Amino acid sequence: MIQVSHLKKSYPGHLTVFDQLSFSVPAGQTLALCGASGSGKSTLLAMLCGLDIPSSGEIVLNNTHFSQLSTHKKIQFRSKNIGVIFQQAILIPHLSIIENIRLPQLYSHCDISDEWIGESLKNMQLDGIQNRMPHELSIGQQQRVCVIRALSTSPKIVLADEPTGALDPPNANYIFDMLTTYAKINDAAVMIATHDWILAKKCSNTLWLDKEPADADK
Amino acid sequence: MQISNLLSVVHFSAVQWKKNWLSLLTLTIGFAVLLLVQALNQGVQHRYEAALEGLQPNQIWVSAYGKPITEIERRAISQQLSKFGEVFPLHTSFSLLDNVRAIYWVYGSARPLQAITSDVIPPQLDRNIALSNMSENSTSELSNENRSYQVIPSVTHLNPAFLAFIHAKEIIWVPTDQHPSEHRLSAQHFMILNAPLRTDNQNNIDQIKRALASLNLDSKVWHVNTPNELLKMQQLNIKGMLIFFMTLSFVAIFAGVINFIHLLLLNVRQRHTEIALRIMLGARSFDLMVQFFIEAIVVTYVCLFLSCIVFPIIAVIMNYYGTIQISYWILPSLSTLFICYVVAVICSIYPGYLAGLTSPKDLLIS
Repeated sequence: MIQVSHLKKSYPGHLTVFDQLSFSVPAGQTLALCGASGSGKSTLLAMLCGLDIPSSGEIVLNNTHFSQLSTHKKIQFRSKNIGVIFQQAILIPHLSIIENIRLPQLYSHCDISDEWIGESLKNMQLDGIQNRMPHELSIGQQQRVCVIRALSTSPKIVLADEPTGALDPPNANYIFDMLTTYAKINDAAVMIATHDWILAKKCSNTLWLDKEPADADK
Repeated sequence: MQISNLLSVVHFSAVQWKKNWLSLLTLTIGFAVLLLVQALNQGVQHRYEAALEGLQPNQIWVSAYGKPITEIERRAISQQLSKFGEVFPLHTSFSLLDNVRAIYWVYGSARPLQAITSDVIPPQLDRNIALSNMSENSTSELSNENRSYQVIPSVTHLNPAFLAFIHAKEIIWVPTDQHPSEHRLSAQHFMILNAPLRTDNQNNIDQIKRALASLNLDSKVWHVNTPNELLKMQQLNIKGMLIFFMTLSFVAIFAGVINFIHLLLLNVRQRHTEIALRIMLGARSFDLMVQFFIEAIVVTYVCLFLSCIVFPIIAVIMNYYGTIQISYWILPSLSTLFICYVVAVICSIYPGYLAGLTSPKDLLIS
């Protein structure tokens, strides 16, 4: 589902973030992307989203040579096939929760049914908050809404950039479980960048962008 | 979904505009002045139509401005003009005296021309009786003892003579053998020549002009006007005022636009995260431009609506001080609506373009 071959990213001034990076995430599996700050986790995710261009190498997403697509095609592909979750819960403050969840529909033209939203909110223990405004929710609740929004178009690829960074352990666990379950049920490839080794172990595989610490297995 | 999003945009715009009421105010003032220009145009148009209404197809107005004509001159003019048709003189005067707003002359109905030359002093008529006998479009007979007098009120209610009459604080019936200048009044004289002439026939007009010129009267520049020429004259009279208000309106709208663009640019910065998120979810530059355009159009039309609400205040002031009566309520014309649309486009195009350049990469890096 996600295939990355010989990926290299370097910036002017001979700063190479990573070189000859190759990995794949099959459908139904999750990959934890680990590494210290500055190791290139966000850069890799940005390239997988089409927001950054690799210096060399190839990215194949859902059998599409993503790195070779034009900017416009990348936007189209991303809106229909990729769900992105950010470290911070980013919701549009003047839209209600349900409007925030429905936002991808505006651009990807996918149909997001009320039933699906209701069920997802219930699964996320957020039922009854549809018409509330984002500022009325806690950070953990907001992040869960962001997860629902990212999954609302039933994407085959989910990229999460430290989605649990600002959450307490119960909320963090909940979101990780939600994502791994989504991958299995929907046959999707999920990549989660995280600092948390314990949570990373819940994923099918782990990719270290820098040297794997000695105590990672503990 | 779309409607709910639009409502959110309206709500958001309202919240944003609370913070920058100055932009709202300047745009509202600009649109209000634009409506004033529209109302003045309509007012003039109504006046033209009214003037046209009163003129028969074969009528022309012969008028002289300046020093009031003397009795001898009047006779000479009437004699000359009678070659072309029956002459009805109509005099309107506006007083320079403090307590008198208008002077109205009444002439005998049977032979109006004779009334001028006779030494009959018109009686003091009751103003209310005169008014009650006056209708908008017809002359009325006023009887006094054995004589019948005709009030030539106006061609329509918008005629200055009629307006002067009904708005006058006091009506003085001036004996016809007394010259208006003796009353220290400025006078404006009209003579309606009811002749079987084609008003668009320049030869006829020239003929009349020549006849008048042959009188060799002092200090008189004679104007022979067809109805259409009268309209053009009125248009010219108000042109300066229209240009002034139009300029004022565009200055206010321009200031509003500058403020508005500034506000929207600030919005682009403040809403960086939202814009980046929308791009991440698949919004193209065009989508963002449309979003900003919708927000701008909502605000500009709200300003136009507000200007319609405040317009009666302007109308009251204009009607008090101005010479042209304008409506208190006015609906924006198509051109005003179009100007609003253009304002919204101008205001939103650059902020929308800038929003499209936002990189959502920041969302990941942060």
